Order: sequence, then C-alpha cells, then structure tokens
Amino acid sequence: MGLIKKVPLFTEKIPGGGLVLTTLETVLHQAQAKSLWYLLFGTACCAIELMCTGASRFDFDRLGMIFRATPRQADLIIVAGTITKKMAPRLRRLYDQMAEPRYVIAMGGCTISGGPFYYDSYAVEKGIDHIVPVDIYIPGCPPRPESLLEGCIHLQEKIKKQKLSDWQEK
Amino acid sequence: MTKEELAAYITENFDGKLKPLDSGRYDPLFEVEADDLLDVARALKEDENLRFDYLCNLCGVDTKEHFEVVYNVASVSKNLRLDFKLILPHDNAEVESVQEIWPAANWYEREMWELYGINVLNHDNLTRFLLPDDWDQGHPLRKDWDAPDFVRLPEGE
Amino acid sequence: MSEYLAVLIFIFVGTGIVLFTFFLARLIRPHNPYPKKDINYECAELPIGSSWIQFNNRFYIFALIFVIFDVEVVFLFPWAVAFGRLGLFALIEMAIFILILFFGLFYAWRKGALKWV
Repeated sequence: MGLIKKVPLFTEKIPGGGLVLTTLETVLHQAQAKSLWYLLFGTACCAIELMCTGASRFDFDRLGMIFRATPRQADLIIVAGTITKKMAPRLRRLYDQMAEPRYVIAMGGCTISGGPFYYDSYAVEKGIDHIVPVDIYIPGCPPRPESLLEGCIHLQEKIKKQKLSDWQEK
Repeated sequence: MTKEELAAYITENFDGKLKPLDSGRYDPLFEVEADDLLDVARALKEDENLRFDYLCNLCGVDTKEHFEVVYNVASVSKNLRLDFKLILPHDNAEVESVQEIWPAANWYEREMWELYGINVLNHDNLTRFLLPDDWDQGHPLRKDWDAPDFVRLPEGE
Repeated sequence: MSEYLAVLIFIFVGTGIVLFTFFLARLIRPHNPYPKKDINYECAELPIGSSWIQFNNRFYIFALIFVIFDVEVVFLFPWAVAFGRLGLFALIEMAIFILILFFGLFYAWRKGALKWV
C-alpha cells in the first residue's frame, strides 16, 4: 500500500506534524538499521572474509545482521567476490527479487572496479555498479573483517539519514 | 623408470614420431606432428611398459608465431609422466580429437576450441560452455583478440 | 451469561490486535511490484517449470491418523469440563475408551505409518 507516502502531506498541515514524522522516521530507521539481514552471496575470496566476519571473533550478529539464504527475506546483499560476465545477470536477478528497502554493499576490489582482474581479463565484469546500484564500497583485497564491519556501520548511518519518501522509490 | 630411461625408451621405440625437446628439470617433453598424433597417443596408451592411461591436461598455447597444443599424460600404474605438444599455424589450426583414447579430452578440447579457436575434428560436442551464453566476441585467449572493455596491462609494468 | 460476554470480548480483542499489526505493516512497507521481482526464486536462474508440486501420497496417512485422534480429543473435551461432577465410573469408562484408541495408535506405530520419510 505504501500509504506512508501520504503521511508527510498530512502531517505537515497540522501544527506539530513534523514532529510526528521525524519520530516515526527515527523509529523506523532504528528498526531497519539495527536488523539488516543480508543475503549470503559470496563468489570468491571475499566470501571467506565474509564468513569469517560472521563467525565468532568478529560477529555480525552483534549488529543484528543475520544471513538469509533467499533474497525474499534479505534487505541487504553483500556482494563478496569477483563477478564475471556470466554471473552478472544472476546478480541482477537476485537484486530484483529482494524486497524494498534494499541495500547493496560492494565488498572488495573486484566488485568496485574489477580489482586485480581489471587488466588482461576477458571474463570479469569491471565493477558491479553498472549492474546494481551500490550504497557502500569497501575497498580491500580482501577487506579485513574490521573493514567490513566498518562498512556495515556506515550503512547503518546512511539508513538513519534517509527520509521516509526515499524508501518508497528504492 | 627414471626420466632419462623414459626419454631413451621413447626415442628408440617411437621411430622419430616423438621428437625430444629440452624440458629442463620438468617431465620429458616431446614434439609430435599433427598427422601422427592418434598413432602416437594410441601407442603411448597401449605400450606394455608405458601404459599412459591418464590425460592430466590438454591445453592450447598462443605464442605470437603459432598455436601449440600441449598434452600432459601420466601412467598411474608405472608412475611416469610425459608431456608432448603439437605446433599448428595460426590460420586453419586443426587437430584430431583424442577422446577415443583418453575420454577426459572431451571437455579439454571443447575449452580449447572455445577459447582459442583451434578446430577439433571428430569431436561430438564442440559448443560453447565456459563463456557467457550470449558471447559473440570471438576466441578470447588469442593474442590478437580485442574487445571494447578489454584493458591490456600497459607495457613496462 | 457474563462469562460468555468476557469470552466474546476476548475473541474480538485478540483478533483485533492481530489485524492491527497486519494493517500497520501494510501501511508502512513500500509496495513496488514489477515483473522481474515477481518471478519464482530459483537461485538466480530463470525458473524452469511450475513451482507448485504435488504432495506425495504418504502424507495422506498422517491426515487420516490426525482425523481419528482429533475426533477422540473432541470426545475428551466435554468429559474434561464435567469431570468434577462425574464419579469414578466416568473415569474408568474414559480410560477404557482411550485404551481402545491407543491400540489403534500402537498398530499404526508398529506398521510404520508414523515414519515421516
């Protein structure tokens, strides 16, 4: 329904309406940012670092992030690993099958610009940002788990800065 | 057999079809003509003292002057390894399929055809399988291949 | 009569809370369907065939056993409610009833009908 799109129009007319909206936004963003469930999508070496970050020493669960196997239940996809030209349509299809609001983290050099495969490779897609819209880029080959956690925290900050109307289009 | 014994055995029994090349510290390396390939391969597999029944690798090489097809075979029962290669010209490169002798060659030859364009005769399924489904940009591993988004490492790095 | 009124209010409030949460979720979430989103999930490949599969026949046995024992439970309810006013006779009678149905369960168990796979 997305009736929430009409709420700003309604609340701005009444005095003190803006306060309702920002409180609502705060609550919703807190709920979203503190429970980002990510789609398990690891193709190459960055996937090992992703698994490592999800394990006990650098835990993802303390940020509320649990892995899901299906994009229908995920709101974040951490693209970890090299994406080849053959894999690119599948990545796009997975992104399309996620429900809004959805976010993408590009983890590692290969997803940012092709990484070490930028030169002399016929099969590697040089960066995923022409396949899916990326929110956070995490450089590294592979990025350390601390880098990945910092990237996720940046994403949480980004979510908290969004307006209610942004969600509806994403 | 040691490597030297193997090299000597091959040289005396294969009457010139396998020409020895310098292999340094690696397994013995020979060169074979494209016409003799099937005879040599069959003999290598069926010879009582050799029994090369395991094809470890079959791949193409593109040096700028010619194509090569390199075969790495091993004998599991006799613990021997051997490499041999064919030299092919750039235009109309063709090689016979060795899949009746070593069935593993089926996919290796398919990959070689797909990436180099070396035609393989008597192969039952020469179709594209490694590259994306809608690939129409030729044979990528050739040295003279180019594509709009293919970036070569700049010289001197 | 007022006890039943309490039950009715309970039912309404319970249903109302659940419906309220559904409505709230529907109000808040974005709704943006497009064809590529609605295809079946098949690990990022295009789906082949329909995703509706036929239930295997062995699950029919479970449905059957469920119906039998569900009817038994239905008989147990009024007995349980009126238990305080009935005497020892009712207890022994119900125990015999349950024992007879237990033989049926035992038969199904030994025949392997309770194995899920």
